[in-house]
Amino acid sequence: MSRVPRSFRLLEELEKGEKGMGPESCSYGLADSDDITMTNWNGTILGPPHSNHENRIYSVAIECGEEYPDQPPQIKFVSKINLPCVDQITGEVKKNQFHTLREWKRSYTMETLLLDLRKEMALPTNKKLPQPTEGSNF
Amino acid sequence: MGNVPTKLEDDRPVRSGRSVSVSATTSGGNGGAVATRTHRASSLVGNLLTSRSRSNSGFYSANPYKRKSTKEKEKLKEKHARQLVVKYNETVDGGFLAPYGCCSIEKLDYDAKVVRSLIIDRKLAPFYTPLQDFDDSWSVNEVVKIVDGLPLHASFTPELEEFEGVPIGDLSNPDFDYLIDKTLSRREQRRMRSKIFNARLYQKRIIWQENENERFLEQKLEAKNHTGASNQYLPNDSLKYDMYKQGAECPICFLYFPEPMNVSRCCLQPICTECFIQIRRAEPHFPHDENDSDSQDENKDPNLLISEPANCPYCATPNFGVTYEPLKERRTGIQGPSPASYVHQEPVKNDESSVTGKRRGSLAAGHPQVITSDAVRPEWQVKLTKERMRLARRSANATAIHVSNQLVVPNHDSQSPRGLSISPRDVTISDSPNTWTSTNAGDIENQMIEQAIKLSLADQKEQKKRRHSAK
Amino acid sequence: MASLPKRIIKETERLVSDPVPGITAQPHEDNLRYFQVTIEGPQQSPYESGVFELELFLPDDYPMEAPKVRFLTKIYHPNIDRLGRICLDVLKTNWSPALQIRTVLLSIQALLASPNPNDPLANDVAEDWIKNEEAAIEKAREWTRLYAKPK
Repeated sequence: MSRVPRSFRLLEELEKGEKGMGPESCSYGLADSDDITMTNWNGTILGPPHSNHENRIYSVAIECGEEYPDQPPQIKFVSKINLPCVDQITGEVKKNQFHTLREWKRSYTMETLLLDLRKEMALPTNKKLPQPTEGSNF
Repeated sequence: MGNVPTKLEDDRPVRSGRSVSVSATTSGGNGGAVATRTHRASSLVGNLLTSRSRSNSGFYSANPYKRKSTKEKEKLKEKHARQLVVKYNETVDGGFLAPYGCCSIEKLDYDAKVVRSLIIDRKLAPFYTPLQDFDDSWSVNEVVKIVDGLPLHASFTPELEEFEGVPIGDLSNPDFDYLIDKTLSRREQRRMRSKIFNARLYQKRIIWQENENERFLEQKLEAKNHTGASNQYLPNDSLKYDMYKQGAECPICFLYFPEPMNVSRCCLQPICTECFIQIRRAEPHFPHDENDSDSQDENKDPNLLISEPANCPYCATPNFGVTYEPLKERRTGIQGPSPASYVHQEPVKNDESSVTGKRRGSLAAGHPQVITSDAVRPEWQVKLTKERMRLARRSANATAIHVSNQLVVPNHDSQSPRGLSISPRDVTISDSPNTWTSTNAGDIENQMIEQAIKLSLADQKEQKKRRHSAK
Repeated sequence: MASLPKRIIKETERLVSDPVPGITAQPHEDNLRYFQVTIEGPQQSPYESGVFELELFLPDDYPMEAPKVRFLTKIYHPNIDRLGRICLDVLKTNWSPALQIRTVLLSIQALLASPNPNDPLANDVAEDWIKNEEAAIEKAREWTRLYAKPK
C-alpha cells in the first residue's frame, strides 16, 4: 500500500478544509497561504453543546513538522481553555495526556485531532469544568 | 490460514436447474468427442454459482430509487465481493470470470453479473492471469512451467492503513453491533459501522480468495500425481502454451496477457478486461465547477448536475467501448469443451474475422458487438438521479427551513400553548390555522422534494429524447 | 511493503533508460511511488534560465487516477499557484490511463512555454498577465533568477 507523502497529504487536507467538506463543528486552514512547506495551520473548534463550552469558538495553532503524518503535529490553544490535557501556561496540548496524539496513527488528520479535542471537551469529567472568560487568549 | 472460521469455508450449495439448460446452446461441430465434451460442459455450467438470467433478478427489477437500509446495502456489497473471487472452475477460454488484481471493492463496483455473462458469451475477453514479463525465446517447457506457477489471484496486503485499528471481531458471526461504540453520536455510530463493515469485508475477501487458491493448488497437485486423468477444469499444457506464447502487453497496466484482447471500438487499441472494467464515468458533477470553491454545491440547480460517458483512454473519443473477437479454436470451459481436452489447432486462415489484429473500421457505440463502459456499470443513471435528488432535497430543506422561519413568528408571551403562532400575511393555505404547525412545514418540504424529483425525471426524459434524436 | 505494480516499475526503468531531454525524475528510495522531478525552463520562455524542482506522487489508483504533481520551486505563472499546485487539464478532467509520467511532465514543460491566463489558478498572477503581459513576463523572469536553480 502506498504511503501518501507529507505534502500531498497536506494538500488533500487543505482542499477538504477549503471546500468546507468537513464537519461543521471544526475548521482549519493554512496560517500563511504563501508557505510552500505548509507547516503552520490555524484551526477552530466549536464548543460542544450541553457543556460549559457551548457556543464558544476556540482557536488553535497547529504545526505540521517534517515528519507529519508519520508523527503527530503540535497543537496549541490560542483561546484560553481549561482542560486537563492543555498546558495552562502555554496552551499546548500535552501529547502524553491526550490519547489522539499519544497513540497517533498515520491515517489521522488535523480534522481527527480537532474533532477528538471537541470530544475531550464533552467528556463527563470535563464538560462542567469552570472556563476562563470568553475571548481571552493564552 | 489455520484459523479460518468454518462458516466462511464454503459457498452456498449450487443452485441446480435453470442454468444447466444453457449448455444446450453449446456448439459442437468438431467430430466424435463432442457428445462427452458437451456433457462435461454442462457440468461446468451447472457449477456456475450465479444464474445466467440477466434481468428480473437482483436489485434491478426492484425500484432502484427506493432507499435501502444499511443492512440491505451491506448485503448487496457482500454479494458483490463474493463475485470478485476468482474460481479455478469458472473458466472461459483459459481465463476467469473475476479480476486478478487486488483493487478495492469501490474501484471494482462494476456490475459483476453483466460482466460475467458477457465473458461467458465471449463478448468480452475473460479475466486472464497476467504475466509480469514475457520472453519470445522461452521454450514450450519454460512457458508451461511459468504458467503452472501462476496463482489464481494476486496476493492481498493483509493490513491496510485505511483499516488500521478498526476492530473486526469474529468474522463468522454476521452480527457486529457489539463492536460499535454506543456512546458516540448516531452519525458517528453509522460512520463507525461502515468502517467496521468494510474492514471485515476486506478480510472476508482475503479468506474467500485464499480458500479458492488452496482448492486450486490441491487440484493442480492431484492432477500432477495422477498423470493422465486430468482435472476437467484445469487447462492442459497445450492450452497453456497456446494462450501465453501469443500474447501482448496491455498498454495501460503493462502486464502481459494472452491474445486476443479487447479492442477499442474507435481506434482499435488493445485493452485487457481488468483495465477495461476500471474505466468509468466521472462522478456526477456540475459543468466546469473545478476550483469554483466560492459557490457551494447546495446553491446550484440540481438539474444542472451532469455525468459524461467515459472517453477512450487512447484517442479520447467519447463513450468508450470495446469489441472482442474470441478465437474459435480456443473455446473451452463454460459453454465449451473441457480445457483439459484442448487440442492445438492452427488458426483458421481464411476466416479473417477470427484472426487477431484483423482490421475493422471503427464502430459506433450502439453497434451490437460493442460493449461500452456504461454497459458494465448500468447503474450510472440511477446514481446521477439519486445525486440530483439528494441535492434537491438539501435545497428543499434549506427552503423549507427558510419558509418555516417566515411562518413561525417568535412568540414572546404565551398566547398559544404551543409557543407558535402564525402571521396570516404569510399563510394562504386553506387549512385551519390552528393545525398549522411545524409538521406542515414538513409537508411543504415533501412537496418540494416531489417537485424536484419530478423535474429531474422530466429532465432525464428530455435528455434521453435528445440523445435518441441525435443518433 | 506491497509489491509495486509492473506499470510503475516499467515506467521508472524507461525514464532512466530513455530520459526526456530537459526533464529528470527519480523515485525516492523509501517510497517508489514518490518522485523527485526537475524540469528545465523551456527556451524562449521567461523561465528559460532556470531549473525547477517538482514532486510527483503516483496514488494507489494510478494509472486510473492521475499522478499528483506540485512545484517545489516558487514560480510566477498564471496556472501555478503559490503552493505550487498546477492547473492543467491532463492532471484533472482530461487525465487518461494511457498517459504516463513522461507525458505529464512534458505537458507541464509545455505549460511553462505557453501560460494560459484565461484559465487561471493564481488569479492575481493571471490578472497581471492580462493587464500588462510585458511586466508579468519580466516578473516571471525575475522570480526564475531569484528562486530557480540556474541551468
